[in-house]
Amino acid sequence: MKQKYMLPLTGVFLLFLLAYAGVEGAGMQWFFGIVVPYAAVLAFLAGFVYRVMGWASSAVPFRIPTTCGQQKSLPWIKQNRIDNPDTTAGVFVRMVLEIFLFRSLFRNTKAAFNRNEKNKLTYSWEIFLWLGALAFHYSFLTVLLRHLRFFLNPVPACIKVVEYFDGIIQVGLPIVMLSGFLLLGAALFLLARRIFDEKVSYISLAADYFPLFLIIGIAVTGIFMRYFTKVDILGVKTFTMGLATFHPVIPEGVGGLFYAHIFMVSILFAYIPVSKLMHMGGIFLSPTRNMANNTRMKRHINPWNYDVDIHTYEQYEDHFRDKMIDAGLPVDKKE
Amino acid sequence: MNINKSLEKNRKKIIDQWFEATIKSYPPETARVLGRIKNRFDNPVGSATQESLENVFDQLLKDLDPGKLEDALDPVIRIRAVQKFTASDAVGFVFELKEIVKNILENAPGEDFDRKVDQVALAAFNRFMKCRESIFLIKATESKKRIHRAFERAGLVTELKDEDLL
Amino acid sequence: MSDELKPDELLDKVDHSPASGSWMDTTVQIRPGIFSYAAKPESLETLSAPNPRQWNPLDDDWKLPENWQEIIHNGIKERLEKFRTFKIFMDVCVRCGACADKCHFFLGTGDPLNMPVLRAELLRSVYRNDFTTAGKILSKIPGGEKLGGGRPMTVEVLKQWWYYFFQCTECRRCSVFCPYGIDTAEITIMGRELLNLLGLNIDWIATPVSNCYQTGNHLGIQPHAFKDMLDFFTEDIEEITGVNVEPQFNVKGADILFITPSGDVFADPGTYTCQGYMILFKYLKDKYDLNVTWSTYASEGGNFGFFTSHETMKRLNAKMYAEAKRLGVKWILGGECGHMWRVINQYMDTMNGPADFLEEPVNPITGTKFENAKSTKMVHITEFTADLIKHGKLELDKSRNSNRVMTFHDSCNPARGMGLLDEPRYCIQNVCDNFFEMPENTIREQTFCCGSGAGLNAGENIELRMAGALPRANAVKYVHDKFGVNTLGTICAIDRAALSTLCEYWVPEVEVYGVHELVGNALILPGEKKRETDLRMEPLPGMEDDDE
Repeated sequence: MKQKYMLPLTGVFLLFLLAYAGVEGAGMQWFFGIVVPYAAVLAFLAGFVYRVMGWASSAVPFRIPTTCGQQKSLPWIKQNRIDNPDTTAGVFVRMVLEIFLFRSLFRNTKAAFNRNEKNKLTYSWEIFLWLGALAFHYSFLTVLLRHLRFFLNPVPACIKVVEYFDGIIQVGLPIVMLSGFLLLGAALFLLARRIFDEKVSYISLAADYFPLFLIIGIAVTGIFMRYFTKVDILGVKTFTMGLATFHPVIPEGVGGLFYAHIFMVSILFAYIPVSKLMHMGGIFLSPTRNMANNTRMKRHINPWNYDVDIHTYEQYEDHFRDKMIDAGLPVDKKE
Repeated sequence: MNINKSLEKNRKKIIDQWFEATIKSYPPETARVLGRIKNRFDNPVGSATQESLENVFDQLLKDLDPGKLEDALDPVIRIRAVQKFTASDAVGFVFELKEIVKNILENAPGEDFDRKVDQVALAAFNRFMKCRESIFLIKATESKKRIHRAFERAGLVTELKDEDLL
Repeated sequence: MSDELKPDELLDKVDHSPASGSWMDTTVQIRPGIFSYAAKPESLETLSAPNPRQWNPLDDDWKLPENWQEIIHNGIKERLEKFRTFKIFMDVCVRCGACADKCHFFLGTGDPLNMPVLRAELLRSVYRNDFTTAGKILSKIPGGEKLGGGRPMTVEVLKQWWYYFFQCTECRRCSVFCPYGIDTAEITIMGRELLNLLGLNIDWIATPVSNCYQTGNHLGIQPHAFKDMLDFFTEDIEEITGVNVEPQFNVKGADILFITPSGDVFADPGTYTCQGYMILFKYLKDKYDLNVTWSTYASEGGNFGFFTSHETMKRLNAKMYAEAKRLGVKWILGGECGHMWRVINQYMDTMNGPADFLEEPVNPITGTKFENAKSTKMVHITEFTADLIKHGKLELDKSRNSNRVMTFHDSCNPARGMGLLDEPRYCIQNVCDNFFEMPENTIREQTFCCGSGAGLNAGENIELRMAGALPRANAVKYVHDKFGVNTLGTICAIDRAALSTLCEYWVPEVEVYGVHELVGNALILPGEKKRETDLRMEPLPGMEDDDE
């Protein structure tokens, strides 16, 4: 049981040590700073495209959306255009809500707020899965966007806007960016859920813990560099711009912690295509959500539809003709 | 303090522990679900178990009426009769009450109380058997009832009595 | 000395909570009361299905073909290419657990392997081991496969598949809550297809499939007997209403072909729903000269092929269009059935269409175009009846159903594979005054399954069925206690049979009715005599004392 999360934890720790020691001890900056990131990005891009193409190459023989509301039917019956869409527009809204608000996950919690017998408002613990998931994904996105400042020169205005709002509480120096801490908090929550909720821990695999530990590791090293060890930002930017412009340089004065951070990010990127983290691509292609429920209106074509043997009426009548005639049922051939 | 009063005083505590002990008869990942979800429609087993235990407990405070006791036990036993419990596991949760009460009350509840719990267990066993009998009856007669009744009405088979269906 | 345990020691040995290891290490224990009997060889032979033989799930030896692992491997491979659903659902699950407590079988049986996520993981673990890069690499390292959550295909795994894929009713409730729309029904369908490649079906599915293929319906009722049954209903109805509602069979040139599950013709209480259809068609014939014909060849709306494989589903479904074409009708009307309508709504036109020999369905009485069925050309009878009622074309006497305090059970397939929710409710509310909904989280798209769908309505697995029915029964019991509900309405033939049994065990005071049984009771036929009883020959409200 324990090994399901102890092994991934140890693994992530070793990855950290490998990079840290590799840089501080063996001076392998070029390897962890240049070779690995390029390889990881390549693996990510190639793997991601390969996986998505793999899905796209599989046929969609039938139109089988999960319908979650009233169908389009008689004109006076009110259709639920989003949960049971019959048009592309409806499907689009459904997908947007699904992708940006995790609507199906929220359904989990719809009945979660209830009044009990004593009319006291109760809620189910499940709401935190939805909240935790939202916090996790959005803070991840924000952190990712903020980091673009290291790869772009000049820094685009939209990224500055993101930064402005992320640091809006104006506390500390350097100003505290909420997203980093939110990401760490949400990841820890999702991890705790996997360890302490017997139901979820029972269904979890080692492969579910690994990315969580990895992301926690990335967040912790990032936070450490920003607020505690105060990494040399100019050096980092020189380094990242070097990567982005394909003229990689190894700056002076940037330590092992930074390379460990970069290394873990690289591992995460390379890990995405071979893991469940591909769900970010899969959600767009999921046939139960991205199709309109209009099969009775418009014929859907199955690319591999093939003819099958059927028991024809003629065979049927041949078999039962006498009995049918006796019972007064009409027949095609009267022999 | 008399036993009933101290039982009543500790009602919530006793029932909570009894409930915990009862759902421990399920695998832990299932027990987690049964113990946590409060909505009675999302969690029928947990809510029926809770309801039964409360009603049985309230019966214990009165003079035991076997009929009422069985009715109070019905929801939880009816469920356990179709789950993968042996007969002893299905009704065994009743005995947990002895230990729980002994641990919670300062003064020992005495033999009277133990005898009452035994009576509850016997009532539970009675109800369990009735539920099992009804399952076997349904199993034996269901398809015949469905199909043969229709045939009978259509005059395709002669009139059937319930005994014929068995 | 003694080898015997003292009672105390014995108690210590009884471990109430099974060790919480990994589910992958559990070995399956096939339990009587839960599993359904194996398919008989004769039934598999009808459709030339693979590996027909006598076998028993309780035996160690399942008499598998020698190269069964290869068959499964190739079967998975083929399906990954043919079904994007399958491939994506194998890849994207993050095991968030949102689906875990949404399954009626998990809630009722408490068996953790009935959590939808684990049902899928049964297949996924093999997929990861054999088909993913990570899995293939990890399986070469000792102990590595566990890291990636993979495991090799063994007989033990196969038995788990068989046991748990026949503990899923393909109801899709979990798929409503999944953030990626992963549909366990789809995974169960694939799992069952793979099992069928080895001849591992259950009898309650295989025999109806075989019957349906040969004789036109699941029960194997031959044409003359089919006609006999409806003739007897005609007599009953004449006794009750004084009107002869004699139906027509296999009539060429009729306006509409009507197809309903054979359960309505041969099993109580569906037979009363069938009488409801007959009364409606007679009414439409007399008032508006609408010609509806029944068919003895396409005498099955249901499709147990759907629970076997896509190919078998197509072979059975083909009869509907073939018969409509032969008879030259304008369009097809379908009776009250659950999975039949999932097949019609999401598969039929694609598999056996285009139905270009039929007309776009229009209700000749009201002029309503059924826009939503213009390609498939098959209309649901509650859509049809709701339209008639809305236009005031039916004369109804609600008081004949006034002793019915109703609630409505949404059948899984019309709810989550179609979205037919308000049409039956509209019909019910126009033929009966007392209608109460069950709680929100147990109806419409969140409806709980009857626990007997997808071919699991057998007798030997009664404990599974009753446990699976618990969440549904629990909500029925609630409205029974609160509002005095005594009637559970439904639009599914399997429901009519299964819910009757579940009520018998869980809520004996509640009876099960099809929607058109209620319509048949309320509909005033031209020239009918004063009715004294309903279709069940029970006295109508206010007529209870007439016998004395």
